[in-house]
Amino acid sequence: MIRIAAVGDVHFAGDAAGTLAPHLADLAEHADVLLLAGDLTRIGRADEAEALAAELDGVDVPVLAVLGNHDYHGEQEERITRTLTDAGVQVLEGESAIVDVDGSRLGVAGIKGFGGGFSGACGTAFGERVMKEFIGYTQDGADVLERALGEIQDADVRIALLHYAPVKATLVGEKLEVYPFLGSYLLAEAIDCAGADLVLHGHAHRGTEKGVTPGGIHVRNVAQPLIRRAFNLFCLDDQRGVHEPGTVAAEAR
Amino acid sequence: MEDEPKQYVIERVHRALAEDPRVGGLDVDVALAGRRVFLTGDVPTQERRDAISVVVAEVLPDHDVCNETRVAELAPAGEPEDIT
Repeated sequence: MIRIAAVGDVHFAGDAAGTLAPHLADLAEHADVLLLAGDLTRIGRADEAEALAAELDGVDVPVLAVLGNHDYHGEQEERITRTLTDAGVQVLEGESAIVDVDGSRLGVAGIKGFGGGFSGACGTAFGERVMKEFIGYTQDGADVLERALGEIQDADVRIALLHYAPVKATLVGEKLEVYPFLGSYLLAEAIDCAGADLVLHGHAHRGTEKGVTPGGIHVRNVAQPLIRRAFNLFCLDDQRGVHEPGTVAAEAR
Repeated sequence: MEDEPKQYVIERVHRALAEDPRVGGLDVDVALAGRRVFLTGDVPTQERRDAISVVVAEVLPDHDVCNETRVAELAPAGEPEDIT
């Protein structure tokens, strides 16, 4: 089994120093990897990333992360990425990584993602330039995510790590009016085409923990304000054999 | 100000809480009752709770600010979930 600790939306800053670290002590006893699902900082300042990096110092398992919208707010996302990378965190934006877990290969494909809405109520690349850019940005991200998942097709366990939500099910509890700003079905379509064992995301603080993509892949919302825990733990079987790419959404395309 | 529809006032507060760098948060519920503004929800630190009061008082200087948000304590991780 591969054991995963995951949390998003820690919204860290100096004033939170010492709140997370005690929960991360001896993490290797419970998990093989720590995944961070974006919104790592409060308002996207480099000093907030430094505070988080200090909080993660001493974590005894590999840490992989994606950024979230808060991490872009201060337009310091490159500095935030650099700060976390220097601290040993692997920050993924349309990229994949393989983590060796006692000889098994854990693959993680990560991207922030973006909004646009869900089947029956989603935006299209039509009209004003900003609207085309909005949906185009989401579509581009979904395409990159699909490629990144393809890179880890031979991993024993494959995780899609996002900030924005790929399905409506994990948004239930949020106001319907904000769904288009919380995620996009395009992300789920990409995941269903490429295949994965688990999708982790944050962003929806008032959503629901559990969902599933139309293609049948488990989705978990690990936004910390929702789970109210330092992190959630997941176990995945690493002995299930060769993965096939997803087919459900591909057939629907 | 007295005739301003309540929903516009509430939205000004929401926007200030989201956009003011002292808060940068979106999780606070806002309700108005006469000249009182009630704030509820969870915040991660006492500093951010205090900042919420300051920002809302600046937006609505003629209202009493009733900050009923609470500082949320993090629970430890629970039992792992088997994903099958």
